Amino acid sequence: MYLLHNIVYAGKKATVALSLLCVVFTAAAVSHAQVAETIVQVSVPETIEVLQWPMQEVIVDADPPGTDTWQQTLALQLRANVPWGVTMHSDSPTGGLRLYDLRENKYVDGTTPTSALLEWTSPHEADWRPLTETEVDLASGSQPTGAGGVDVTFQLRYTPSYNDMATPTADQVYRTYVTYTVGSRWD
Amino acid sequence: MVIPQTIRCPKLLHSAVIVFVGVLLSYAPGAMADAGGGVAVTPARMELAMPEDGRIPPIYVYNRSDETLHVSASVVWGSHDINGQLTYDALSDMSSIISIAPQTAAIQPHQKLSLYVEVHDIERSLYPVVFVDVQHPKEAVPGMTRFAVPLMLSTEEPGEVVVEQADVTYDPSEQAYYVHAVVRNVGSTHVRTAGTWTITQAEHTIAEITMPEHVILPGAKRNISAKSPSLSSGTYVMQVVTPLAPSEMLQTQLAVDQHGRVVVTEANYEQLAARRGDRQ
Repeated sequence: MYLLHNIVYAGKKATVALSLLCVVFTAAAVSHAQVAETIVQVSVPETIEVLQWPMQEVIVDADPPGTDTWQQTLALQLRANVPWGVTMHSDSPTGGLRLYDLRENKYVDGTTPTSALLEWTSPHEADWRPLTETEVDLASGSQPTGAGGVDVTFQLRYTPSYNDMATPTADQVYRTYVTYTVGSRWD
Repeated sequence: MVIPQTIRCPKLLHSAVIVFVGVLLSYAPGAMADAGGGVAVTPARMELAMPEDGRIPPIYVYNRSDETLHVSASVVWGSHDINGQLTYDALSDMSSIISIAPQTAAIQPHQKLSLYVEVHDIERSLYPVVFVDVQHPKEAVPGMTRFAVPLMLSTEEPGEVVVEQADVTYDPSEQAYYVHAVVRNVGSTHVRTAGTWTITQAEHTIAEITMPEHVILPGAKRNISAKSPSLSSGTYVMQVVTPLAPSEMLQTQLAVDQHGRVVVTEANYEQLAARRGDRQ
C-alpha cells in the first residue's frame, strides 16, 4: 500500500514537472515569435462625376404657331460623395430664343429674342418659369449618391407665337444655349 | 427654332408645318453612360490654409468616356445665397489675383488632366470658384457643361458674425417646430456656425437647441435652422448665443397660439444693430 502511494505521488510530481516544462517551452517559443501588423488607410477624395448630360442638341419638329406646345423631358445623371447641386441657366436675358445663322455659326446681329419664351419645370416645381440668364436650382443632395448615381430630370417647353417673325431662311433658326453647372456646396 | 411663314389658311398649311426648335443643350453621348463612366472632377471642393507659396494642390479632371474631351478652365469669385447654395460672379476677372493652368486642354479617353491653381495675393482669405467647362468633341460649343469647384483659402484671421434675426416656425404638415437664425459673417474669413437657441418660459428652460455647423463666407449670410421640441400655446423668450459673437445675445419674445402658429412679439434686433453702429 505504501509502495503504491509512493508510485502515485511520484507520478503526480512527474506530471507537475512536465507541465512546468511545457509552460517554459511555450513561453520561450512565444518570446521568439515575430508579430507584424498592417495599417490600411485610405483617403477618398471629394468627387463629383457626371455620367450623362442632357442631350447636346435638341431639334424639335413642332406645329405652327397657335397650336401645340413643344415639350420635352431631359435628364442628367451624376454621382457624388459630397453634398452636390445642379443649376442651369440660358444665354437669354428674357427666356426668348434669338435668331442664329447656321452658316456663320453665330447669332444674327441686331435681332431681339422671341416673345415666346423657353420655359422649364422640374418635379420639385409647381410652375413653369422662363429659362433666363439667372441660375436656377434643378436639384441638390446632401448624402452620397451611391455608385448608381441619381437622375435629375426636368422639362423644357416652347410655344411658337404669331408675335414672332418666321425664320427668314432655311439656314437660320431660333436658338438658345443652356448651361448646366454641377458643383458641391461650401459645406 | 425655325418658325416658318405660316398663316391660318388650310390650303397653305401643308407647306408650312415644319417648325424646328434648336435648343442647344449639353454634351451627353449615350455611350458615355453605357461605358459606366463620364467626366469626374476631384476634389470637388477644397478648404485649406492659404499656402505660403500660393500653390494649391491640383484639381484632376478624369475622362472616363471613349471620346476625347476638350475642356477649358477659369476662375471666378464665389459666394453663397441665404440657403447656402453656391453662387458666383461669372463675369468677374480674377486673373491678377489667382490663375489656373492650363486654361484649355484636350483629355484623351480614359486619361486625366491636372489643373494647377496659383494664388498671387496670399495676404487675405479668398473664395474663388474654379469652372471646368467640358465641350462637345465634335462641335465647339462654349460653356455647355460646367463643373464648379469651390475653394476656401483662408488666412489665420478669426471669424466674426452677427445674428440678425431669429424666430420659430411651425410646419403643420410635419407638426413640427423649427428654430431659425439669420447669421451674417462680418469678418474677412469664413466661419462655421456654432451656438445655441435657448427657449424659456417664465424663466424655466423649455429647450436648448444646438446650432448646426454651416459655412458662411465673408459678407454673406445664411438662414440656419434646426428642429425644436414642441411648444404648447403660451409666451416664450428665445435667446440665440454664438461664440462667434460673444458680446451679443439676440433675444425675441414669441407667442404660440392654440393652432401652433408662432408670432414674434418683440425682438432686440434694432438695439443690437445700434450697438454695433456705436462700436464702429
